[in-house]
Amino acid sequence: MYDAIIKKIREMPPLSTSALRLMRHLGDDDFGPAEYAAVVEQDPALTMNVLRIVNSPGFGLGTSVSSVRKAVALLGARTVAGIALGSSCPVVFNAPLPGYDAARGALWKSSLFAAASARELSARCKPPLAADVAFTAGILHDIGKAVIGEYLEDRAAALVKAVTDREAASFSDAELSLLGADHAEAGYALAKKWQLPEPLLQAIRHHHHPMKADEEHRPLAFCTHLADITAMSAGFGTGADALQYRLDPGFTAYFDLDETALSHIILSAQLDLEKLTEPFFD
Amino acid sequence: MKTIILGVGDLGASNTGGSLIKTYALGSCVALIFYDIRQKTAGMVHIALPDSSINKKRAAAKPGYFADTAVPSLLTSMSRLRGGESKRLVVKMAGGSNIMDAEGTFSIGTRNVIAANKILTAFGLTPMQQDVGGQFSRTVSIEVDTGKVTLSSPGKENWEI
Repeated sequence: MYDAIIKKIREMPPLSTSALRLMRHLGDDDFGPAEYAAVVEQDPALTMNVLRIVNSPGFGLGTSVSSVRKAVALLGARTVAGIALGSSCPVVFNAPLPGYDAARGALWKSSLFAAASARELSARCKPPLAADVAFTAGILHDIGKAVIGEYLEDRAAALVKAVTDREAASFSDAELSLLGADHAEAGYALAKKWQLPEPLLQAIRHHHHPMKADEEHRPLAFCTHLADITAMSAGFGTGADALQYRLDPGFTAYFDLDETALSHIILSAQLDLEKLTEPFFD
Repeated sequence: MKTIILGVGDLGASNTGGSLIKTYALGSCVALIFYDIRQKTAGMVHIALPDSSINKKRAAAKPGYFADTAVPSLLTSMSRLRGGESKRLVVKMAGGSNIMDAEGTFSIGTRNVIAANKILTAFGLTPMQQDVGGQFSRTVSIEVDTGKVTLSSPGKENWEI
C-alpha cells in the first residue's frame, strides 16, 4: 500500500508556477500588493478566479472590481495566495475523500477555516508568527488526505472504531497502521514534490505531533495543530476523522490562550469563511 | 420531503407536514431541538459558542450562533408558528464534542452544553434527552410530522433520541 501511495504522489500534478511564487514570498516584507498583483496578472486562470471571487455577492463589496491590482489590495496577499493554491490544484482541494466519508469540497472549506484560524493564532504566538505563512500552513496542512483518501475507502468506520476502542491513539495512528503512512506524512511527501519552503513542509508533516518539528519551526507546527483542532471543533472537519486526535498540551509554551481568546478565533474564522462562500470550483 | 438545512449559527422552525430540519457535522457545536407534539411544530438551532458578549453585532445578525441568544430567538420563531403558545415543548440536545484535551482549554463542546442548559433553565425548559460529549461529530435531524430526532456520525449506525 505504501508503494502505491508514493506512486500516486509522483503522479500528482505540479503546483502552478504562480501559486508557488506567491507562496514563496509570503511573509516577505519587500513583496507588496503590487508585486503580488504582477504575479497574478501573468496567470490568466488565476486572474479570472481572483476577479470572480472578489466580485461574488458573498464577498459583499457592492462594487465591481475589474483590476487585479485593486482586487489584491482588497483581498490581501494571503487570500490571493489561498485562491491561487485552491484553484491551481482542484485535484487536491476538490477531491472527494471516500476514506474520510467526506463530501467533495469539504477539504477546501476545512482548509480555509484552519487557515483563517491559523492567521488569528499567529498574532497570539510568542513571539508572533508571520500571519501569511500561518494562513498558508492552514490551507495546506491536510493535502495528504487527498492522496490517501482513496486507499482508506470503506475503512472509515473501522478506523473510527480503532480509535474509539483505544487500539489506536488517533485517526492518523490508525491510518499509519493500515497504510504504512498517515495523511500528514503523505502531505509532506506531496509538499516536497511541490518544493514548498521548509517551514510549510514541517507544519504539514507535524501538524498532529508538533513537538516532532525542529525547534525553529515548532511554533508554526503548533499554530497549525491548533488551527486544525479549531476547524474540527467548529464543524469544519473532513468527515469521519473529526476530533479523532489528541491536543498536544505543549502549545502553552508558545500560545497564551484562554476560553475567550478561542471564542474570538473561532468566530473570526467563521466570518472569513462566510465571505468566501462562492465556490472556487465549477 | 422538504429538507431545511441549517448552517452554523442558523435556526429554523417549521410546521409544514412532511418536512425535515437538519444540521450537519456538529463537532463542538450544540443543536437544540424543540418540538410541540400537539401542534406538530419543530424547531432547531445550531449553536457554535456559549456567550454573545464577545460580539454583539454577530449576535444581532445571527442570534443562533451563541447559546444565550439562540434560545430566545428560537422560541420567538416557534411561537409565531404556534400562535403564541409557550408551553408543552419537548426539548432535546445533541453535539458538544471535544478534542482529547487533558487540560480542558479546548473543551468548547462542554462549555457550549453548560451554556445551553443554563439558558434553557432561565426560560423554564429542561432537555428531555441529551446526546452530548464524546469525541465525534454528529449530524442531527427532526421530522416535523413525528418529532423523531435522528443522529448520525461517520463510521456509526444512525440512532434516535
